[in-house]
Amino acid sequence: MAASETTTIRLQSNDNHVMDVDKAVAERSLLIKNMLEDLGDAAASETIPIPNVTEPVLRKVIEWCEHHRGDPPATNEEESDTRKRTTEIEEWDQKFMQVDQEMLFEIILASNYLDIKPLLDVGCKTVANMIKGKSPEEIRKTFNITNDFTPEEEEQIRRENEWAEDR
Amino acid sequence: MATTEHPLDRLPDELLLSIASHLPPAEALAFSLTNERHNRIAGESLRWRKRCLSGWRYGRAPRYRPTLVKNFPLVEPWRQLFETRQATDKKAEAIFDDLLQSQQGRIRKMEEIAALGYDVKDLLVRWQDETPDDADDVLARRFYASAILDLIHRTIAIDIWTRLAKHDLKIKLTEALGAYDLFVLNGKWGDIEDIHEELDKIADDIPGYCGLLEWKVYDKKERALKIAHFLRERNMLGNPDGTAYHDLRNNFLSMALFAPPHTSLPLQSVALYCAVAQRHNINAQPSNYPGHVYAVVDGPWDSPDDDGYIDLADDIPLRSSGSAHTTGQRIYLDPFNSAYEVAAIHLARGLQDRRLPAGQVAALMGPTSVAEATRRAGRNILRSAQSAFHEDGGPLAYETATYVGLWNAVLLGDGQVRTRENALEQSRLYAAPLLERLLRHFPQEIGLAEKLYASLFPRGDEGSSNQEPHPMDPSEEIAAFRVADDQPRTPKTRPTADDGSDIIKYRVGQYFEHKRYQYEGIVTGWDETCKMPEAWIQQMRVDDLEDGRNQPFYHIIDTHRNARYVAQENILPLTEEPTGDLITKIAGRYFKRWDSEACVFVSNLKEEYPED
Repeated sequence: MAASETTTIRLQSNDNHVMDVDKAVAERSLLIKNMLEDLGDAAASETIPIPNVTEPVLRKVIEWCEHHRGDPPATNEEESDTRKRTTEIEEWDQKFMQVDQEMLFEIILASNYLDIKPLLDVGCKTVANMIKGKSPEEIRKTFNITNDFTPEEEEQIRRENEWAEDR
Repeated sequence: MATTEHPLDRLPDELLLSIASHLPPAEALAFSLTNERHNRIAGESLRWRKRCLSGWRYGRAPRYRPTLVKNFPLVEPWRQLFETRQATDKKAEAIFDDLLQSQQGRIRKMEEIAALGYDVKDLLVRWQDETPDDADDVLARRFYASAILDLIHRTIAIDIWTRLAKHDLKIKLTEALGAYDLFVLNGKWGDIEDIHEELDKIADDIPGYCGLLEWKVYDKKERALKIAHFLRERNMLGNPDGTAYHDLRNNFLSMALFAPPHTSLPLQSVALYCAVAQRHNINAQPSNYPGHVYAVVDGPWDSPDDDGYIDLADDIPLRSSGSAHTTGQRIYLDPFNSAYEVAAIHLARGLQDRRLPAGQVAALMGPTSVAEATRRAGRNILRSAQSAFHEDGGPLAYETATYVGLWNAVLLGDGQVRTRENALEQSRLYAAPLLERLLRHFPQEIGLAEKLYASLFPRGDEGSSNQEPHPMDPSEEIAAFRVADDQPRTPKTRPTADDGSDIIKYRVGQYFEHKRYQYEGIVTGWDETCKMPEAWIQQMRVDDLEDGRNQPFYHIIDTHRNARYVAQENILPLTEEPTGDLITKIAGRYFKRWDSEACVFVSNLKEEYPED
């Protein structure tokens, strides 16, 4: 493996920036991986358009893929409960996700589109961590959400879910 | 006012849901309160979750434990779970109704339900505890629900001991000892999860009891002593009320934890003490000492953890016996009797008279293994079973205790053996009495025996095809039993005399007293004349009876769950409703309910005796 040649492929963001990426890195995206498999060898020479993702976001995503290129493939089903239970994020990923909200949500959308489950997971957990420990009002402030409930409606939902807190 | 665009708006529903799934319920609620869309998405999960949790208390997955679920994020696809569980309940209900109605394949059907495990525990507990007294098949319903519950629990217990026998080091002492509780637990509180949860809670209380600041500065030795103090003060260890030492209840962790007066044997006291101490990262283990169980607590003492508070989820597994220790870094406690240290010299002196080699002294002064402690518990239970026969539990408690003890002895051996071959021979010795009890009391547990016997009497298929089965191998008996369970029953019509009167005087369901031996029983079948082999007839001196061998004979079940064969002239009908084990633990296998007008049990053996 170590001695094998690295092939690069060419990606094009929706704002028409072209970048060369190691095939192994790009294949962290299942979308790209499947595409390459479908195209066969021909893909190596062609430029692959990523129409939904802008250059800065694509760079960021590739940075993540670079760092995680050696990760074992995700064991999809039957994941241990302990992993699911935490919103813990490994240190490097935490730093990686210290970006403005605009970028954070772009990364989430891009990883969803490119089908990079672990990155999507990190993104969702990051948002979840921003929600944790806050009151509804604080959450609204954080994300600039407009409250479309009347106080009565809000009270009713609260009542319906009262037990959520004591169980 | 125009709605301001906010970034969460750009995410599709499924991504929003996946974010919400990472939130524990209370925080998901806060999120769902922020606006309508979030309420729709996160609230949906919350509502399905609520239905799941209020619908079932038990489940195979640990997320079902209330203490866990409190902080458990919404990741579970609750709706799917709800639907799966509903389907499981339906499936179990259908099998259950079927088994109540037909004798054919009852045991197989019980196994089918039991295979669903903890996912049907709620249902079974409900049938057992909440079937109304006036239900048409009240006794059968309660009996079979209870028997299936036992089967589920015992399957888990036997699995634990089997793994322990294979030296699975992950098995904790409280698990191996808690397996005993599973044999007698039935629908009650106190399975292994309950025990562990309770121990977590107790361990949690200790720093507060000592004062958080004080606790922080204590070294581990002081903590070990404080824990003993706390547990004794809470009356959770020992037997201060002096219930008889060998009372059956004292053998069970769940009794010590959950049932007043919380008494236990030394081994159980020490096991509870060690489990709590281990939750505070203290290396405490039961001793290997003969005659009495102490807690062996090993240092180093001087490394209290950083924040004075330990991750309670991490138990330290017991170290195997004979681990090295440094002098001065080990203390002995006797939590059964006191909260104080016992001098090592005192224990050593106790061994002096035995003139043992030094190595053996060290081993006896050291900690024991989980397997050895479990065997010790098994021996205690067999011993208690002897006294229970005369005292608290009654005959069936004795039988169950003996049954548990035998299982343990078969799986873990009695501790005397040296080689593997030897161990197998030892286990085989217990196999026959175990099977005898199983078939008599818990025939629905036959599947557990099948597995066991397959390992005790392996049938090599390579080059040994013509090998004779081991003389003690009961697989043929078991196979025949299986066949009989699945066979349609042959109906027996009641014969009448020339004048049209009944030849068979009593019916299936007749409650009676034996004229000569005074025991009580219920008729479960009959023959027109004595159908036993000649040898039995001779031995029982049937011909000496007034009406000899040509009178009707009855199959009966007595209060000890013995199946007997009784001559008609010895049946003395009783008319009042029986009490005790006969009605709660025995009758339901054969009968639907007690008919207080006819003063007999209503038969549930209709395929065999359609007219009874």
